[in-house]
Amino acid sequence: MHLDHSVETQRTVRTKKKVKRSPKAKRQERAFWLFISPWVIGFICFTGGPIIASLFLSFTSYDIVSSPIWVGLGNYIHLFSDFLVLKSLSATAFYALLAVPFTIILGLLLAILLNQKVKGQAFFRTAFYAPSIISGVSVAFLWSWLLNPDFGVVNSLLKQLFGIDGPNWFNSTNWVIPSMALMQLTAVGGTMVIFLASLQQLPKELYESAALDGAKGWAKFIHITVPLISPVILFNTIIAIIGSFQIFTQAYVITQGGPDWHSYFYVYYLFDTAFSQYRMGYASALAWVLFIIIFVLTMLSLFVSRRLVYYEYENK
Amino acid sequence: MNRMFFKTFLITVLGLVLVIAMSGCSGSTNGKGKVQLSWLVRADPHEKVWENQMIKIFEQQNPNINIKLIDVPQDQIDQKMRTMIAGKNLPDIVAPNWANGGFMSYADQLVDLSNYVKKDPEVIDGVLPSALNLWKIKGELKALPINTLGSLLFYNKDLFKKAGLPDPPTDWEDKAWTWDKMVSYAKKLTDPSKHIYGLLDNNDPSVDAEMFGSSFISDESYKKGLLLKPNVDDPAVHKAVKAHHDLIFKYKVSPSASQLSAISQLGDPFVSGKVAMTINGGWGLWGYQNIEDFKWSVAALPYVPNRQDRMYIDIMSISKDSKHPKEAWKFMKFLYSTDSLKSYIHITQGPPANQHLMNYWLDFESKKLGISKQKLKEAHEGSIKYGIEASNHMVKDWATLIQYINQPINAYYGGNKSFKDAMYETKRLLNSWTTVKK
Repeated sequence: MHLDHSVETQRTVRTKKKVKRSPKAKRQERAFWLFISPWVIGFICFTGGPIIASLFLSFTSYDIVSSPIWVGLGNYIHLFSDFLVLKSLSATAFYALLAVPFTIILGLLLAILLNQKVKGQAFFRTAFYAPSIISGVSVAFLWSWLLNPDFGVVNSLLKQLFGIDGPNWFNSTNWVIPSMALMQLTAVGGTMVIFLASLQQLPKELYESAALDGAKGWAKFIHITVPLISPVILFNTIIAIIGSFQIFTQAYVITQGGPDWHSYFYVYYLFDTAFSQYRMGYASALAWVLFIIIFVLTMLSLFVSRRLVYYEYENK
Repeated sequence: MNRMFFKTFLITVLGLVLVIAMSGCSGSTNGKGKVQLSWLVRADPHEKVWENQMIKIFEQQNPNINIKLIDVPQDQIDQKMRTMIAGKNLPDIVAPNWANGGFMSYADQLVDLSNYVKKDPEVIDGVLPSALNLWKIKGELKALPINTLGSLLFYNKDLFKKAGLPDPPTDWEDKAWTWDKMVSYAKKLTDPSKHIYGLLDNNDPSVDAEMFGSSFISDESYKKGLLLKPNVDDPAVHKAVKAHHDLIFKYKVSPSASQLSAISQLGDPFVSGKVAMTINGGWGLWGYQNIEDFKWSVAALPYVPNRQDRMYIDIMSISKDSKHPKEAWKFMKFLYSTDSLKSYIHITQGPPANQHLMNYWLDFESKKLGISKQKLKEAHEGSIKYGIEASNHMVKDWATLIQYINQPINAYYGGNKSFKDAMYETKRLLNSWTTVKK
């Protein structure tokens, strides 16, 4: 009751203030809009506007040169019979299936290792993080060399150390997606840093009391570390899912979608549809479907994780 | 103080907006009564030298006309042109074949040059009719060819000598120079221990099909410049695809995709001496001119019944958006004058479309390359005689169609797909494009 009264009082004060704004307040408001206008204009022109425009265009046939022609749900209906939508979606889903767990497990493992108090800790942290800030195109070229079946380092090592004939990597329909997932080795830095930050926040008392109770390393990890960082695992998983569904550069640079469309990812198809075929309406429909897929997957992850994620503040 | 500041700020912003708007509205005259023309070209270092030289001379001769050069990386020309067309500000002079979309995608945007040519017939005097008539749509001449370039066989003379093989012929009528004979040469030239391959067919499957006298799309589609019906089931297309596959798997004279990637790491595998023969566009003539480690030469493509040779012609056009078509034509006329074309030959080494200058090109190019003039003449003329202008210039949406051809067939070449599946998928994809509404 007291709270309601206080809110009411605040509202009254605000209303009164609105009516009797001082010239200074008015000037400040104008200044606010003036100085924020570059951002507002930028947002409307380059982000918000195009998003709304793309929604409109997704119901049209539009080749840039001529005016858009309204086709209703035509583009969305065509998606269901488009052979390449199915191909690109399955390639992307397969990639996500491999890359997301790989990124999370590898990121967490590296973070745990780099959280140890060892000599040269700063160097190791920098060394493992550095590759993730290198341009995607350069990294793609590097991997295309490393995994070249004929002269690549990886196959040479496999042959010399284990006597194994390495796979055809990017040239094989079976191996091209695992190869792209393997490339996450050099892209895991961001995930690792977030895990590392969360590990550094963990209270030492819990580990000390667990040790007193006789808990060993693995038990401590499973029963203390994992529950405490579970919100971070969820966050990284969602980010990794979004990133996986937006994969493009690797395929564009190394395989051009091949062999046999096996690395022709959804965003690659979207790019081709927009900037090679100039079917902007259809490309917009593809983009909105991608948005819906990512949105549904994110919601699904949040729903599934409800009972798996531990939020400390909920128990306070 | 504050009020003054805001006033000044607002006036400055409004002033800037006005200046930007005004500068957007101008463009055709520069305020001093001069006409400003724009010329859209691809960013090519050799061609740019010629283009700048042409602009300099033309502006000296025509002080009332300014030429603004807009050079764009070739793979971005389509995007640039599309957005410019949408904004109704396509440059006055364009070279549609330098865009991936090619001539046919932009023909509607180009001015009919017929009347200009009637008035100034010397501009096309000597131009090969076959290279000129390609750009006529419903009786309207939409472009003028500046060069004509066929596909040729380039070979490493040193490797031929070492293998005890005679030089392949430059005479396209030599019916003894067959595909099988070329393969037999390739076998002798292949040296697995040194990773040297006898033959590299640089062409995509659509060019292979033309070499075997056919095409992946129907004749009607090519003539109309639009995919109406695929021609994937034609036996000659099958033969071409299988012949390329055999080079890699049956005869093992050509590198596989991964082997090609490996030997290409040091640059063009022909330049690095890793392939003894390569089938390539005529640009190899100047592309290979700096090879110092071995001697090389050119030859005719092997004889196959109904053979066609992929030809690439560069063209110039005036856009319908041009506000100064007369001045644009004046500049075009200047570009196609004998002196300008001679300069073009000197700087770019491109073979001219104008036959009056052919001897000039042959003299210049044969000396430059150290190849006999007669041989070069035979090789070049044959390539034009059997030439069929590139589908990417003549057929709309070729970038998509070639992707539909390349993906399944390259999977077959890579051992990832059976022949039957590859051809079935190609046909299915091409068919699907005939029903796509853009």
